[in-house]
Amino acid sequence: MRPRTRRVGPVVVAVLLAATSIFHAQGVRPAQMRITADPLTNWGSTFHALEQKAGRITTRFADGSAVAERGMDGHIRTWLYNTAGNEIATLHAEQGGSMRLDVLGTTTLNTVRRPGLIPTLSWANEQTYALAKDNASSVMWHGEVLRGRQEIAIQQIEVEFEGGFAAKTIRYPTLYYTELALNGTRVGRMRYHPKERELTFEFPGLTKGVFTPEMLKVVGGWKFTPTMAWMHVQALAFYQFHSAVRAKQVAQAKPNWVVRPELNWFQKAWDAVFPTVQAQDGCTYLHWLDNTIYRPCCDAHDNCYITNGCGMYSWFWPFAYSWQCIPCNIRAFVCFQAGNVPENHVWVPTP
Amino acid sequence: MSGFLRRSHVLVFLLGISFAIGLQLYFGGWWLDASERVRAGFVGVTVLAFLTASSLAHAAALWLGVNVGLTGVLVWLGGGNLWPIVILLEGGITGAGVGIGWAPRQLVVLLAQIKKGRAR
Repeated sequence: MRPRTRRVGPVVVAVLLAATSIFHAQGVRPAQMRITADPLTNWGSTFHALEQKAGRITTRFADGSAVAERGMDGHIRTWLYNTAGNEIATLHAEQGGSMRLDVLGTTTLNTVRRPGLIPTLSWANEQTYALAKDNASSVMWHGEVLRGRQEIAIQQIEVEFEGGFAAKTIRYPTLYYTELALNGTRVGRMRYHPKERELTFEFPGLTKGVFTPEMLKVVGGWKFTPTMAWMHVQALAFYQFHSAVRAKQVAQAKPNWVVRPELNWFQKAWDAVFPTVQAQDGCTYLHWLDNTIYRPCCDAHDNCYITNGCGMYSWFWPFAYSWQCIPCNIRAFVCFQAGNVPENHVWVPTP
Repeated sequence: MSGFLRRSHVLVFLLGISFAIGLQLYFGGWWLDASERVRAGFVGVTVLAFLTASSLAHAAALWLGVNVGLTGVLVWLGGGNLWPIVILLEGGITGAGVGIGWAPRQLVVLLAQIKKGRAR
């Protein structure tokens, strides 16, 4: 009997240790939360398809900021920082619907999302901030956000989309302002006035206009209340959809033409077997002249540079490259002065 | 300071540089890469000349400032294969803008002087 009694003690300790470790891991058991009468907004499948292109979103609040990232598995993870930049909470939202809040390393909330709620990165940031601010026992589902009575005041949202797109939305006293950039260059902007419910947008070369409640009456008015999180997705939609329309128009229209040296019969035969790479990027830093009579001058100059291995320094230091670079530059100057197709060059459509 | 290097000339010159940098920051890209940017730049420099170019020297200082600023931005961007032509063109466009802004201002001043002379 004695040996058996000896074994009971370690088993009890092991069971207790296992129980406490499970408790530490789970923190708080999944809890059902109350839901207020505020309905969920149906943003539509197009919105969510575009929102999925966001890889990282930073949301700034008055007293901190939150960064959300979407993992390869579709789970969203958010880090909440105070104004000093110290991490104070993290939220882990799984595709299955569960979400867990850890504050300073301790799980303070473990629950499931409201049925029908599709998580976004902006939502995750707002949700993390709301839960970290309010006592977990006093929160309720207000629309998409599980929070206390007070609404969350977002000051700024910065988004990094795939494909080199980035957007920034700033809250001003009377409006939300969004800028969309592609590889660091601004490609469009939008303003929304919540009081007047008026949206103005401008994407140079693509589209620009205004949506007012009166104008939208024919389609039943605004079907949702635009938010700061909606602004950057809509900006991406404006750019991508209108770019696609423009690309289609260009493809259906007359092809762009470029100028190339006129080839003799031998060169044509040679080119058919060994095609030469031609410069077609237009007038560098003078792209407003790309569709004018000066375009041939730029293409001829680029081709001359490619053929002779020239560079920009050949303008003031002829020894840097081939001596042939000097005629390239002189011909460009003369061409710009005359504004016509260089000698022995013809217009050909782009391939 | 006297002659060309008056304080007001320096201020106008600096204003020209600021305008050039502002143009780049506002559009987020080089101003001669799109026609609407060229229009905005031209109109902007014209209005600036009308407001600040009280003399030919002020107009010259403004033009110089704008071109120093634009050339600086171009160098910062990398220059490109056609940089001397770009500088010449920007000089011409901004020169025309400054001239168009400066001329009506001079006309207004001249008319005011004539009116003043008649009154005497």
